[in-house]
Amino acid sequence: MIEGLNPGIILILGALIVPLTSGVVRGVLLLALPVLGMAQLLSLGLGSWGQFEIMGMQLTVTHIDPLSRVFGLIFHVAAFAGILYSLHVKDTVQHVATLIYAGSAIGAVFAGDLITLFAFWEITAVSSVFLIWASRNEQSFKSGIRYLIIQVTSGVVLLGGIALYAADTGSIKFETMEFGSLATWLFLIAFGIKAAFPMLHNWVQDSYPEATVTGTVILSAFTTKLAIYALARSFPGTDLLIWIGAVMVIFPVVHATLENDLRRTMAYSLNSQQGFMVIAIGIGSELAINGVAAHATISILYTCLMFMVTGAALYRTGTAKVTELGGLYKSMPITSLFAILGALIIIAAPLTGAFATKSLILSAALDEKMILLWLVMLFGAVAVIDNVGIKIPLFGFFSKDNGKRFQEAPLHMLLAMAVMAGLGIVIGLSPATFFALLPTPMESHVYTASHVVTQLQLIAFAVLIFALALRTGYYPKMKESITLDFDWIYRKVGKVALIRTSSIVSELWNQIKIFGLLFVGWAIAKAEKSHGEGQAMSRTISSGHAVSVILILFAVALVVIYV
Amino acid sequence: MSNSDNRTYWLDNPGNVNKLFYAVVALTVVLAIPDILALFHILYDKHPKAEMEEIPFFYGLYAMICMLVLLGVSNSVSSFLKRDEDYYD
Repeated sequence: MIEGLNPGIILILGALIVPLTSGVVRGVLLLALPVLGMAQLLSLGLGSWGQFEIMGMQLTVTHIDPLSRVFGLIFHVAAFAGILYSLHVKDTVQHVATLIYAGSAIGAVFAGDLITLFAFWEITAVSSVFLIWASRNEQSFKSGIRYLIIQVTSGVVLLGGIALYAADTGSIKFETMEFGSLATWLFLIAFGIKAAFPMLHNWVQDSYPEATVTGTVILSAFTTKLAIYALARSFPGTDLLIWIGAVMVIFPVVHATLENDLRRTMAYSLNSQQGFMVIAIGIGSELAINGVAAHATISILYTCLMFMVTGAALYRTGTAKVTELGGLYKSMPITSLFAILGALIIIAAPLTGAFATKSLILSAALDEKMILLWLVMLFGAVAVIDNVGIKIPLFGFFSKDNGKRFQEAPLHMLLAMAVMAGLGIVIGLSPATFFALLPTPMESHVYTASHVVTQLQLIAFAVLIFALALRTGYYPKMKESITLDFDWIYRKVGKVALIRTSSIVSELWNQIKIFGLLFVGWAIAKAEKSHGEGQAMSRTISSGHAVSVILILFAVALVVIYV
Repeated sequence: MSNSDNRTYWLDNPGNVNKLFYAVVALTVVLAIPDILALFHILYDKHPKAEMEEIPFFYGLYAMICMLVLLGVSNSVSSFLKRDEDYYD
């Protein structure tokens, strides 16, 4: 392997060869690239490479430390599984976009300086939008435009932050920063957009469900987790993040409950799970940061898995809406099994990865005596049991039979699901092995009797209320509708306001033009009165008169000059 | 897509769905037992980090409260937030 080459660049360069291949060769190449990247990452170990100076700035293209390594590893796994899931796709645009997007996300994770980070940050934005546009319909086109505007805004804000930060500190190193200056606020906003902070979040729920079946799986793994990584690197222990995270945990869950589209339900749930990680970054203790890295990893596994199963339903049936699906377990039993496994992981059932990782964050909050915060996170943990844990398998796969039958998902999709589900469970079975990869070495006792009992209580009682609500009709009815969210502000109010303003401006302009024409007309009429045909100023006079006038003028001039 | 097959699945029988429901109820009862044992320090002890965890059945009770709040809020904002699918078009 090439010494010090950023593993992400392997995927990006590989993407350029992809259009030259086809068939089986392309399939092998696509799958081989993340494996090569992973091999490069493992062979490098920890350290910094590719350092050089440009215009007085010290760049570090590759920097691997324990925190970035965890994110890099799971990004490679997600890229591999995502590509495996999309092997049936015969669309070169999507293949190239997937590799460049995954590669740039990996590249950004291993960026040692802010300029390198910015470069990869922007490439993720531009490459990923093609996975949305690849749906090739009007909705996805519009959604992609909104996505691109928001993503590129994040990049521009980041660039502004970098310029200010370099001027303030003289450094462009990507490292822990003291939060407070304007530069760091800009960083927080740039990272916050991609992390889907409250009110900056709508791009996730807007665009992910519009992307292709396979595109959503890929999208869900990288952008939001890259932002979590950037926050964890820059702002551990920043109190503000605790409260932002708490709002993030709570707000999306109501929408997730009401949402009819299963992929959009997942997008809301993903948002709530992001909140856990943002809170942990705000707490900032060693345990909490370990929790961030660990939970981000598991979160990628189960989020991808759930997007895979809902995507498989969409692929076979043409819809991912609760109101249109029915009895799918009869047609797609294996996919349904993976939906259940994914649900078990996401609700943090014992013997799954999230059981181990979520407790790190919850313990970190309790260690700091943040009881209210702990209760907020427990609420989030219960909400996800409802939103995804039960809702997706039950409403998506085990709902009342509507008589339609479909084929089981293709083998490569099932294999990809198996990779994600398998890892999610293996980590749960032996958390210590996985914890050894985390930034700070720690002792952990995941499987204590009280932890298992309390978590099972949480799950079982939540399921009980769900079942009771369903039987009594109290559970919200799924309808063919959308649920308004904050983007209503710019997609409706903002749009109307903009249209009104522009019509007022154009009306005003019309008035100005009319007034101008009237004024010109008045001036012409005036001029015609004095200079018009037959008027005083346009009359012809005899040459004798003219000579006399000139003589008088000369006389006046003479008098003025010589007297 | 093919037409409906005539096989009857286990879940097609409403009686079995009821069975599943009672299984959940039974499970909650079983999971409440350790908290009762903990009250008398038999076999099982809690290791609370927060005072609240000492409340018997805390996790079960809190889960139920959270679910009721979530469903209550969802129901109450539903009519206010729901729009037709082509609302933005």
